[in-house]
Amino acid sequence: MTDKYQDLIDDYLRDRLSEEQRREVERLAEADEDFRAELDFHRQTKSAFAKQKHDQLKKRLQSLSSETPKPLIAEHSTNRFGRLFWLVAATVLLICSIGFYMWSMRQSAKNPADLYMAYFEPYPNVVLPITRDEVQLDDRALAYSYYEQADYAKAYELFGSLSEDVHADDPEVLFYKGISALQLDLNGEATRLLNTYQSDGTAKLGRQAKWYEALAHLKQGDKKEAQKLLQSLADHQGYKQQEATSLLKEY
Amino acid sequence: MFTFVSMPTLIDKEVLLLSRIRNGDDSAIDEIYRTSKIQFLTFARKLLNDENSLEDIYQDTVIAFYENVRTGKITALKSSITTYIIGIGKHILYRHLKKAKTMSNLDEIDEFDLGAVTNTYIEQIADKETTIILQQAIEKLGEPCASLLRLFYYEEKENTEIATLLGYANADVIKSQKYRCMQTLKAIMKKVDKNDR
Repeated sequence: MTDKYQDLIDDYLRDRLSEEQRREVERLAEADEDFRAELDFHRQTKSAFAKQKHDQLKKRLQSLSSETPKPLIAEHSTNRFGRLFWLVAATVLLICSIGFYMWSMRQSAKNPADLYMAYFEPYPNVVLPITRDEVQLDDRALAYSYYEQADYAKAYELFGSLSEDVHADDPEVLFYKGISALQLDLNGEATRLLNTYQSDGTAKLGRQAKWYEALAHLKQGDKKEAQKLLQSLADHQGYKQQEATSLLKEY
Repeated sequence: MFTFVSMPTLIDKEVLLLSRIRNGDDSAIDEIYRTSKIQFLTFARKLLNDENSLEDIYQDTVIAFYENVRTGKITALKSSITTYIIGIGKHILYRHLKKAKTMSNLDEIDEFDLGAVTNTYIEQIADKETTIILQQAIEKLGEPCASLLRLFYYEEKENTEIATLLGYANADVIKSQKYRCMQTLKAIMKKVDKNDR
């Protein structure tokens, strides 16, 4: 067998062929014994490499199996003192936490987390409105669709998987990925993304990105950075100027 | 509005674990193993009273999950990793029980459908004879063929990427080199096979 079928077989195994080409491969496998043997050989090679890896992983996990304590086997040796100790400890903890809860309720709403809650609102999808009757969505549209549905974990992943080309066409991907990261509490990542987005001078949502970056810093307790960004929003007319001014007063 | 308060760290951590697996970081599998073990055993002990088999099944389950993430069958989490693990583990456990013939109508019990995910990769490559022979042949293959074929068939990297990783000039070189490696592997396999018999 020459190597002319190599690519075809590899593409078949990687599931990269059109329906028509797939059928062609299957037809060839039926009709041509050599081709079938070659196809099997490739498939088995793939399996063998996977098996090799699995054996490695299995060994790795076997070395863990003894280390992990077996749960749910009832405590055999808890003596009376042990039990009493835990009972007292639990009671003390409960009283303390109720006290702390009531104390924190009395605190004013000026702590950063509360301010964040009061001011944060996810920015609407203005780049790629998704209509309900679109059946086939590409990854970019799907990412925006998850974003709209507030499924930020999926949106974050998908935004992250988009290629450079997509980024060049749609620089706002960074901005929305940043907000998704913020929603997932990946604050450092959010700050970085929003900052990168603004650093491109042509950013359409530059002020918006600045606002969300300020909120990201606020959430992380980085007062100085947050104030700096808010001040620059408050100083110039535009998106969230008023909010920035009043947030600065409360902060 | 409340998302960041109610479910932050957990999802964070799990999303991160997935991307670590995708980047080939094997240590992620340790964490997954530790995270879901208690819950899996709690469920599985009701069906099988054999700690050694349970340990074995659990290990296969974790590897199957790892493979599903690596091969892109699981791209994002619809629920926690533990839920997936138990779904896959249930499937493997039922197969084990069926093999042992201790239960008959197991298919009806499986109400826990995670779709394609439970159709585990690991079962497709059970210990077939040819796979084992090929595995021995791969061990004798030597470099650069062993790395080249592993990158191509296991990691499913593109030829250009493989060229960069192994220091070849371009993708075309990889293509012809790969063909030669496959021929070598075939020859070694025939030898191993002969010696076995």
